[in-house]
Amino acid sequence: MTHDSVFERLPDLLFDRDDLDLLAHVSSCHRCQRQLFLLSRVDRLLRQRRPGAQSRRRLIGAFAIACLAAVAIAVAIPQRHASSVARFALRTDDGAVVARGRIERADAENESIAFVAHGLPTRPTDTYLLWTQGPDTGEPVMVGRFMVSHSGECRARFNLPGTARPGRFWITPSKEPTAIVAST
Amino acid sequence: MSDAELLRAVAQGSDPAFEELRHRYETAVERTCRSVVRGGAEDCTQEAFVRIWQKARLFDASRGSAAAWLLTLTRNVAYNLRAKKGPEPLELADADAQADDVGLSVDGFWLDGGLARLEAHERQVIELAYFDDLSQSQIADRLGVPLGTVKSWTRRGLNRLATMLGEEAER
Repeated sequence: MTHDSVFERLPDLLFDRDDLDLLAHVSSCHRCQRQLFLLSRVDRLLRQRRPGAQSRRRLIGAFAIACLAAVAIAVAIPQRHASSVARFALRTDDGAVVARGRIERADAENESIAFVAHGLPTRPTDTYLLWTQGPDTGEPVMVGRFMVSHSGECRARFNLPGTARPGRFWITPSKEPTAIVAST
Repeated sequence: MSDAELLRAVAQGSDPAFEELRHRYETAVERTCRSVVRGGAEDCTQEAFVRIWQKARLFDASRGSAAAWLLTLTRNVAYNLRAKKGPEPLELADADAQADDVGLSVDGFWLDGGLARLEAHERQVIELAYFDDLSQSQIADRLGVPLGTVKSWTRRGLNRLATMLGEEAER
């Protein structure tokens, strides 16, 4: 199967979740893993929108999410940490801690990151980006964008596909994504 | 054209861009208005689009997605209208529905705009599958098209929605 044919058929995994040919490709294709994650979010939104979904949501959603989680775990989580909560601190070059994060499982598909920054340089016309490394290739993956107050503080919550507990985080200005302000 | 590009065109006074934005987000804006000011949702929707037209130049893509900006503006309009009208009686069931309404989230708000951007047949098969709970065979029977066509339309529609969602997340 070519990448294009698998990519086109990825929505089948929402309905026929044991397609081994598709899963075999997805397990080694970061682009397909990302699309599958986005498809699962779309699927969840559509199920939530279903008339009468509020009463059925928990049952159907739990089933769908459990299945998708099984897919995600099968294809994208070769090594998952046993701990359900992890913390990290981001330091500037001089060692000062300017941000902290707490990662925990948000649901079957996502990690939730509670993020607190303090003492970051203010950037009135710009925002910051929080980055991590992709689970497979180590390529930078943007976790989210945030602004700081006039005193350099920020509280934010980000969601991250629950594909793997990331190893390293760093912060850059959004207009200079190679200029690392702080990192773990 | 993306939502952000549409907003930029609206800011420059483009009527076609405004009409396209209204087409994409009318349902979402109405839903949000209805969840806040149930009695005056039509007025709220009108007012929200007037404000979108007037304030589109203030949209800054570097600070968030177009859907988030539209939702925030709509909420502000709705809460202002509700404040002017005074509190409405709210039954417990309604309060639960409000708190749980996917239309109040950015993703839920975005979903209406995303569905509006699909081809009509793609949107139709997705709505029949998810909202009417029909199997793909049942959809094929109802529409009088081959099962393979339904599968193809569903795949294409879902993939397009996922791609749009990814583009929104990257803005």
